[in-house]
Amino acid sequence: MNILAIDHVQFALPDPMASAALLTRCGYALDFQEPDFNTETRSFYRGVAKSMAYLHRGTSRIEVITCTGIAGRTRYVPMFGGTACPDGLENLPNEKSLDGVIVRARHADRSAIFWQFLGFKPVMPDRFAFPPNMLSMPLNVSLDRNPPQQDADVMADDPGCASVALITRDIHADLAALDQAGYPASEATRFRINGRHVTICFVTGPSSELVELVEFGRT
Amino acid sequence: MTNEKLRTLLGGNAAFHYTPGVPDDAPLLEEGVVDSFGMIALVMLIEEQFGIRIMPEDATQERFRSIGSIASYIEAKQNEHPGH
Repeated sequence: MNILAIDHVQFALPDPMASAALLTRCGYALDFQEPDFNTETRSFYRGVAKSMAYLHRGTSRIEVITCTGIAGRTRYVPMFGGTACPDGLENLPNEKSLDGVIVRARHADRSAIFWQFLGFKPVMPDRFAFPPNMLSMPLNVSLDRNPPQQDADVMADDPGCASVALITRDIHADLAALDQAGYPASEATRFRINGRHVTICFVTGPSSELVELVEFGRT
Repeated sequence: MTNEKLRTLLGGNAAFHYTPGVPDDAPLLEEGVVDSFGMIALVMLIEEQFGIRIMPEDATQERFRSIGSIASYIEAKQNEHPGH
């Protein structure tokens, strides 16, 4: 795999601009926003027009995007300042940064292998972290082995903490490696956002946790 | 040699804000030569241009602080695999 860093955690929400405003009141800074982006059909977004905003607080980075699907499907519970926030961005602790996600892991042993395949290292039983570096958002990924009953399928715009985005050097090589390892992925889509070319795709882990791969253009 | 090749790389790409005369020890992020998105591009370009593989844990602020520190890192990596 060619993963370099964790870029951000994505939340899908009914009103991303209102959520971005909420995050700014909690200490996050708005980097950019794009209304009505991503209007062409893409399998992972149901082809519905989206608005999005990208924010940071120190090295913690969050993307908010318009949700479309059914609440309660997403596989992640976000953690701010080490505290689980099952309500997502509702009741957000003030002045805390997003620093972890809990995976509702129906298949925890297989999910543990998946995260290590992506380059994460075990730091505690059922907890993984990407090697720290200057490009990466610090983020612990913990596995909850006793999640509530869940639907099988999730999509990137289901409401809630929807995906973890990783920066890759070579998205097509990684897609081939993921395919060989048996992890399903969406098509890679190239587009321009905030003045930069990016190529993204979504990979589904064994517990239906979604991971976005992002390859940035060199210019 | 490595420093000059790095300068050419920084000066020849719109992702960076390089101007000739930036000292070898100038902090690239603080001086605005490279922003956080540009640093990702820089890591990938260095891999391509210098034929090295930068492991995630190697991409530290200390190593990528300045042209001089990056050049030292590149040369050390190249010495691990002579011929690249």
